[in-house]
Amino acid sequence: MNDSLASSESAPLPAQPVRQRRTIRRDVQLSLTVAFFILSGLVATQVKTQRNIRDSAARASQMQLAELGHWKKEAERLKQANESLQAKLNNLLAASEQESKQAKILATELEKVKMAMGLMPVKGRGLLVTLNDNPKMPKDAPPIEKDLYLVHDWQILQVVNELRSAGAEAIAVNGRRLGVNSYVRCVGLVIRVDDVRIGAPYKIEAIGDPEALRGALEAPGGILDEFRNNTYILSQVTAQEAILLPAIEGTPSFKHAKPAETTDKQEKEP
Amino acid sequence: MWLPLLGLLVGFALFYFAGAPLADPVVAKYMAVAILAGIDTVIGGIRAHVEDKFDDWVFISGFFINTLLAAGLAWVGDQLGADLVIAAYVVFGKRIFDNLAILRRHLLNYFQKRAPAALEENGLEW
Repeated sequence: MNDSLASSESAPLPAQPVRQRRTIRRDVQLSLTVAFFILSGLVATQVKTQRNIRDSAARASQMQLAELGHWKKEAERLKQANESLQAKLNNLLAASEQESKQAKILATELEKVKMAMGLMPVKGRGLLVTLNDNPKMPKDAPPIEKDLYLVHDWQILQVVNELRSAGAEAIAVNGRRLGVNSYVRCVGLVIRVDDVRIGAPYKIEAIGDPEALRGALEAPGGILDEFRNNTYILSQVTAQEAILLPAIEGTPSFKHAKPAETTDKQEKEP
Repeated sequence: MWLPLLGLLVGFALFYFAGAPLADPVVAKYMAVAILAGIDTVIGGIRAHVEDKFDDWVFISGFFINTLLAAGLAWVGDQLGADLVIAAYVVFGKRIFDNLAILRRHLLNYFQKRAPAALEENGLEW
């Protein structure tokens, strides 16, 4: 400062006009103060702004992180839910398969039972036994002798019995299927099968092995032998390739018989 | 020299704590260049003062025009797709460092010689 003042004092020398600087103002303090004030204001604003930007960016990334965590958790949860649902679905599928298997078993069982009860028409090869009254019955013969020319209920029963013992699976008399409760009996002069009158010729159809059935009926000393030797009735046996037997009429009803093997629930019923 | 320091502190405190409005992020980018220009001008002014060449008209006009020019040039560069901001950063940065170095030498000189006369003899011809 001193030295510059000195130089300005020395300026008036005419020999050195070049040294004359333009008017130098030296209000350094005020200028610097103003400049510093404005500059620091700018810096403060800038710092604040930058900090804000950084903070908001950090906050945003933090929020994104949190969101990411949330969605990860959600994905995990959905995955587990999916797995458990898949397991449930598999269980249900297995169960339904089981059920349909059981239903199939039940259906076949039911069919078997129906066949055994004669509740459904059946077909197969078998044997046709025809018994007929002998038309050559003399009119003046005594009643006891006349009986030998006629087919009796017990003869039909014997044939049916023999057929069954030989393994016949289904039997019909004159197209009337015999069920578990069927009977053949004589009422007066007519033979009835389950309340239906039948007349000669008596056709007894049986499904089963034809040879076995025939063998049983026609064995020496068998019932057909006996009919032929001791009576005059006509009997004929023919093997059949295809016999169609109808179902029994009506369903057997049980009023007194009850299932002996019952579940608890049924047992408690009075 | 306490008045400029006071201005520095008061300005900062006023704008930082007294709820000055935040600059828009786009404006903030140009303000950074402007601040750099301002710092350059101020340090240049201090150097001029130390070298006894200070002119407050030069200083004040330089302060305002340099800051505005720096920000404006950066803006124009952005409009053109040329990063003139980088040029401003480099130029102002270099000048700031240069001036600081010169100031440091003045300071060293001052403390070593401990006399204004010695300073005049050795120092001023860098």
